[in-house]
Amino acid sequence: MAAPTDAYNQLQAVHHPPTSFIAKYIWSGDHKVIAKQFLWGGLIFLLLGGLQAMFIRWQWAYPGQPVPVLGQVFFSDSGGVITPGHYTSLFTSHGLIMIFWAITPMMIGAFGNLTIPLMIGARDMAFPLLNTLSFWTWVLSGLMVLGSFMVPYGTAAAGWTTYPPLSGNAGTPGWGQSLFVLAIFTTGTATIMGGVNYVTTVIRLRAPGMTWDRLPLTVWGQFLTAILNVLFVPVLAGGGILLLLDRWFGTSFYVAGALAGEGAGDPILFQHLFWIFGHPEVYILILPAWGFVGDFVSFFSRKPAYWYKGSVWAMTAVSIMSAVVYGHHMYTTGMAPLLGKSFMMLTLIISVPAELLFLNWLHTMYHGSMRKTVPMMFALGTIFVFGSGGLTGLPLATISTDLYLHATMFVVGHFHLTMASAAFLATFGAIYFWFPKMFGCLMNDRLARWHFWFSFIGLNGVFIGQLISGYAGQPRRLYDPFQYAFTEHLLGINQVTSYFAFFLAFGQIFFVINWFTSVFKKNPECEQNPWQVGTLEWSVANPTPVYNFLQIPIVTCGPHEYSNPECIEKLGKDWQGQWETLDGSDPELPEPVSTGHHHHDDHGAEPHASEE
Amino acid sequence: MDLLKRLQHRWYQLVAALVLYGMPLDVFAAVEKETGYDMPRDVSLDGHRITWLINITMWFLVVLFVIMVIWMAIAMFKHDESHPAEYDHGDAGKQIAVALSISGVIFLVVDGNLYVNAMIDLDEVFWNFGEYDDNPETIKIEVNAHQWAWDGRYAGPDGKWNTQDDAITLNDIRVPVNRPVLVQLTSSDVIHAFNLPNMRVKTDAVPGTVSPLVFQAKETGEFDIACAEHCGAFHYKMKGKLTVLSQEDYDLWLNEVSHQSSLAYNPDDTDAHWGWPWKEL
Amino acid sequence: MMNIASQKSIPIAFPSERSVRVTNHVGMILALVSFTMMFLALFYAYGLLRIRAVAWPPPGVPQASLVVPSLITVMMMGSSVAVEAARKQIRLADMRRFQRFALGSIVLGILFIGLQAGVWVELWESGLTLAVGPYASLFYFLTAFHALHVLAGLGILIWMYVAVPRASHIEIRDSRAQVASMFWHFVGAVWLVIFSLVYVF
Repeated sequence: MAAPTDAYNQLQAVHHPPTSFIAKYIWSGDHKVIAKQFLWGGLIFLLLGGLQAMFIRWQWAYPGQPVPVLGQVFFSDSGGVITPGHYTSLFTSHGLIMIFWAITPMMIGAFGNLTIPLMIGARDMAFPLLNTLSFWTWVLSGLMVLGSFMVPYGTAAAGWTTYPPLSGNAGTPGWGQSLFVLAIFTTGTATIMGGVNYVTTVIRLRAPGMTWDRLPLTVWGQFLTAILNVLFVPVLAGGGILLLLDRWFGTSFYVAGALAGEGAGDPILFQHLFWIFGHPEVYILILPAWGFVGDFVSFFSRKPAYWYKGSVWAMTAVSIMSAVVYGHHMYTTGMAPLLGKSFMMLTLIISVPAELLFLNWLHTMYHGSMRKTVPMMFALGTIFVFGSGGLTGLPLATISTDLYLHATMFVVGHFHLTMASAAFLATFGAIYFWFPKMFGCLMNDRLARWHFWFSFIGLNGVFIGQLISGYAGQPRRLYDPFQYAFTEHLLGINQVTSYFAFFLAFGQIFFVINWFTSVFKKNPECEQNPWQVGTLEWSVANPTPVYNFLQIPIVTCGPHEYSNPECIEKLGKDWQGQWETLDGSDPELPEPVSTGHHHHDDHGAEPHASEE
Repeated sequence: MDLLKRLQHRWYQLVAALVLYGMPLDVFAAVEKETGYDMPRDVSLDGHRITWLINITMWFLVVLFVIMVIWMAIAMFKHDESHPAEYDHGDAGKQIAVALSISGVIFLVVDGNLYVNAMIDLDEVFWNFGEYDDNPETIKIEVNAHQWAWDGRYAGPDGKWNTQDDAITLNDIRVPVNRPVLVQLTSSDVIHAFNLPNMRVKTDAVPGTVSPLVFQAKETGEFDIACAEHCGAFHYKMKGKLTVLSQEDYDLWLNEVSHQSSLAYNPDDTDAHWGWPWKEL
Repeated sequence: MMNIASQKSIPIAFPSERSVRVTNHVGMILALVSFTMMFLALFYAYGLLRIRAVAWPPPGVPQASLVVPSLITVMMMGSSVAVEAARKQIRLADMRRFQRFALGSIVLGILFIGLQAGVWVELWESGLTLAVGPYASLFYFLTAFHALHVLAGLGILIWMYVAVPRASHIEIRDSRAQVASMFWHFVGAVWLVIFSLVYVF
């Protein structure tokens, strides 16, 4: 009768609380601890990446002027002035750090880890050891990044896109560029580990009754992102390895022109490999945000998510199409016209599922009963910035208009609205929302709202300013953009944009204060379900117990059951938890779906469903 | 490709750098400055197609965005906590049809307009390289980009490329007004991009390949050439000047430069012979 | 790292050991999907560089004779057969024969690497150096990268050799061997593609 204990206990053991410091904070295996580790790590790099952005904005507002105070710290070798060499490293590392060491660990590493097991009714991820390894591999990659700043010739300087030949030895000599590429490879490995874990967990560890059509949109977002990570980060790894081989061993994958010996490689090959990863990557960085928004809008409009299945299909369609649109980053490289036109058609088509998603969100909040909670404000903000940002993608998707707009600040404004602003706002919304699950009580509401408004106004100011200057023709990545007759007059708008950036930066102080005071507050009296929502994580205490669920829940309904008249009548509240039945009876185990292995437990009770 | 072999000699870069930095910015003062946040002056025959398509699309986008914001405002202020929520899953057949129809209409109008016009514009002008190449009126120019300057080459009276009478220029491309121009671009080191904002077009200059770019100027004057692909620390200064002249002035200038280049021609200086046989398109 | 609680009062979902196996297999399949995508990216690189080349192989470049490469291909396939034979022994509960077959597959894998290295040395000395260009870069890199994965696979086979007999239950033994064999067969399949690309065509 008895299954051997190590087999299934390893999978769904009820954890005893860890006792040693190492088991509690360093080498834990508990997805909730790993989530916090990723969150702290990501916040630190967000600070670094943000500082770099401020330096770039300083240089554009006051070209050639020494940076006050911080200039003496970071640019002491040039008297506090940002030099052209510094500048190329600044925009390169700003982009790479924000993508791989800020957004990814926060949105995916932290919130994927936190939400997936809890929202599907599991006790932990499928592979806890792999999870721990994933975090420490990421830490290793972060150390490589920091190390790259300290080597002779400085850190990477070929743009986040790292195009050869500029990223080769002749273009950017020294260890800095190589270390950074190695760091990308390492963090990519961590991401793949996480992706394998997340996908396996969602497929295999859903609680009984948690069918695919009852998954919260948050979990769908994380699941699809994890699949994209598993598929496309390896392509970046491949492209990156070839670059490192060119740099270290004299191979000729990307070498061409005067630098090539007898046989020339192809620099455009790198662009293909990079963007086959790079375009799915931007969806990787937004799908979790779409998931948060889809859920929060329903939760706080007290209304079911409008056409839930349509949203899931839209997110899935975008994921499937994400790799076949990548050529729109390469329209000016001289590709065959037919190929370019195919990419254009596909890129225009991929905008349709995204539009559908928006319509569903707008329909959800309409005729709702909106509670303007902090997470809801951040969700609304995300919709606002992704709306404007996403729409500006259309003239970029089109080849003829892109001939003008390519490599201008219009592109920079577009992706900072869709990627940076939307992911930023959604992630902070998630932090405020799930803070009680991680640390016990809610964060301070007033500070959170100051944080929101400074961020929202700041983000919009900066990136709409960039859209304007890009429309006027300002090229991107210029140390001094005002060298040309067609851009000299744009100093004014650049200064205004920079003031919005400093405003944005200042506003983060409200979060920093709120974060430190809330994390370290010792207050045992915390409400269990302050948001009054029905997803599974809110059925357990705050902060979440080590073992998550003392009993694995049986799921009775979807995650968006709000304002059901029957529920209001029978349960006396406008929300139904996914573990609750309307008539108050105990939920029954669903019939086993497959003909799989049935197992009787010690109590001789009914067979548990072993597969869904 | 073996057409474009060119060894990198430091002295050539040094000369280019000296010329570039030595030149007072005044030289570029003749290029008329822009004002306002509109696109730079369009002096090309066909740039208006791009200008129009961008502008009308931006109007569509603004309209859609405003509708979205109004919708959100109603939800936020009228359908707030004082308003009872509807228990509506939105998955009835009629509702789905409405949602798909709205998306479909937006797609057909906005995306459709972009797609149809882009296909026409690419086929008729911007990627219609074969027709430009076959046209005997077309001015043909070879441009080699390198850190951080633009080398220009005109075939000269003998009509052959990479010969003694080729007119060689530095950061200085001149064309006659009202004649089609076809530029073939490459680079000898890293990727650059040849950007003519006043013609609305740009194309990458990639080492190992030759990329085409077409335009036709309809006004005389002096305009910026900018680099539009990050190419190193001095990418921001990789500035050239595009001058559009009357036909007579252009002919005079070309003859003069061809003559000067011919005199300066050194058969042993392989660096300077970076040209290539014109690539048939 | 994780403590085991008493099961007396805690009903647990998915209590069967088969479900643990399936979970592990799903994980391995996903990992193999990742590895496959990476190799596909490298094959894409091969395709693009080959199409753009004027002549392939470039004229005057030394070519490997197909004898040793064909031999090691057969060895690789034999090694996969050996692994499958080993797995059959698990159901027959014969650990000694299992270990014999497992050892056989490991030995074949080691020989593969050794002979492959020999081919590299011979070609390098006869003039196929990196200066030749992308042809040489691709040849050495694709085969070397594969060899790296063969090494990793050998590590996994050694783990299998040790861990399978140690497992307390036949289902777990089977599961461990299956996971290991998935990786090893994957490495063999990739070799077939590489062999075709760099040696045959």
